[in-house]
Amino acid sequence: MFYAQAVSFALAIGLMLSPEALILVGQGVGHAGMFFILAISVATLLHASTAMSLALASLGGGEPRLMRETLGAVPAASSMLCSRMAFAVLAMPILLSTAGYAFNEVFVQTFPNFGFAFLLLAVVTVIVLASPRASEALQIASVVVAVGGLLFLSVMGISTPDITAIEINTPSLGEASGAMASAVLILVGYDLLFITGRRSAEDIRAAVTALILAGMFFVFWGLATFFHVPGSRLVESTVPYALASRKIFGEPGRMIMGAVVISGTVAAVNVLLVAGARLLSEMSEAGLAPYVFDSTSRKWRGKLGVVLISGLGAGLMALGMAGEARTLVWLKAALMFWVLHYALVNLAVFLALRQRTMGGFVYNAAFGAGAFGLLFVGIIVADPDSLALVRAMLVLMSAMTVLSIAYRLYRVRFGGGR
Amino acid sequence: MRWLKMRRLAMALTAVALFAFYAHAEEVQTITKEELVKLLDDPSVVVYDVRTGTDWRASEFKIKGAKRLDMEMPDAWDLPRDKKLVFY
Repeated sequence: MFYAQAVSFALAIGLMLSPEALILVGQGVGHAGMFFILAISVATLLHASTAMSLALASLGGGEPRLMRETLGAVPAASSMLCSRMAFAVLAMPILLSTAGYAFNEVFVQTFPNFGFAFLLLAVVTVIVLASPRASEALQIASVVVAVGGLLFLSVMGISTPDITAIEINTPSLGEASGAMASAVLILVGYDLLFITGRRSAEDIRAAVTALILAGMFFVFWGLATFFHVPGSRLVESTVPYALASRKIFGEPGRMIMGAVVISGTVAAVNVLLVAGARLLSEMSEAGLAPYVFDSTSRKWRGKLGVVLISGLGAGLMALGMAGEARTLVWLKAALMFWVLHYALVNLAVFLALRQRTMGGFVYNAAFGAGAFGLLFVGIIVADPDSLALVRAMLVLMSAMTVLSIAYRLYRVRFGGGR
Repeated sequence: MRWLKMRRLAMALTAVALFAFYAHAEEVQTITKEELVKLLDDPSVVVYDVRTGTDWRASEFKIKGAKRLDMEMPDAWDLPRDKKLVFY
């Protein structure tokens, strides 16, 4: 029982421990100081209210089925492909190359960073393909290392503040809205638990617990960073977590942070592979994706999704996309679609429940749809390079919509194909 | 037969292109990091860090005083012609 809860917790928190989240925390503290800490608390509550709708969607026959029945097949498929699926593929080169740099620069300088990135992806893929049990154990181990290291450095940082490094300034409206946006984005990903095939009341509790604890970890790490590195230096740095860990605990702190980055990447990649394949299978079950991904009839088909996501991620790395600035814009575009997806799931739950006597859930879903819809627009407007972001989003949406329509037409013409 | 000729022609063109690329690459000098360290305080040397994306972002090590160039807009580069340029 405890093991099952630990697995659920580790799957829910996995993506939130990625190095990208740590960059956002560092830069958020740099721009907005203590306001960012407050923003994380507000964002945690906002996500927790939406977690209820996501859990309801997951329990009621699966999210793809509910979205298809309430919003239509093409919007449902497009939203899922643009958000989690595109994110799973685009995040691979960025997360893995960050882990590669951490390994190369912190631990073994003679080992090439991209060699490590490919090796890490291969090892995680083989483990996911070989055994679900081994994948769960890997998830727990990597989360324990990442959370343990982050908490240790946070406690060290908070207990020994450097008064000379503290910069107190009032954030401008732009900085405050940017901080709020970052706070919302660092907590995206807990819902991957609901699509890993784990659906029970305990899992809902595990997802909300992971969300609240992740919020608390980021508050602690944000405070430790605030107490040790001036905001102006955090804003300039591309690796604020490395800067803060070195200031807090010297070279050992840097090594602990290196371990946090690598294990956080493993946790994120592992859950993205498992959840991405499972999502393809659920979409296939709901008639939104080709039947070859449906693992309910034949288990090996679930592995096709893992191979596809891992292969595409490896392909992007081989093409040098990790070193391209536009890959980050594409990743942010997918993340924005994930925020929009939260709004759409809330909308689907609202449409499904409004005729029934489930007032609390209906109001919660309506609130979630409105709040995440507004955040979606607000974050795009507040983005410093909103034009490039919108362009990437349009291309991504067009590609995924064409894919969804093409598959829809294929199904209409040739039937289910089962 | 015609296909064979085309393939030979393609191979010959590839060989010429590779040779030209290699010959061109020879013109660009490379230096070691130890040599670069000695040049860092030299005012006649400008160092450009041309890493992009995660290559730039994820690395802890940045060269002190190095300038950055937007690789998407090479037309906008204004490189000093009277100085020694080092690209990383």
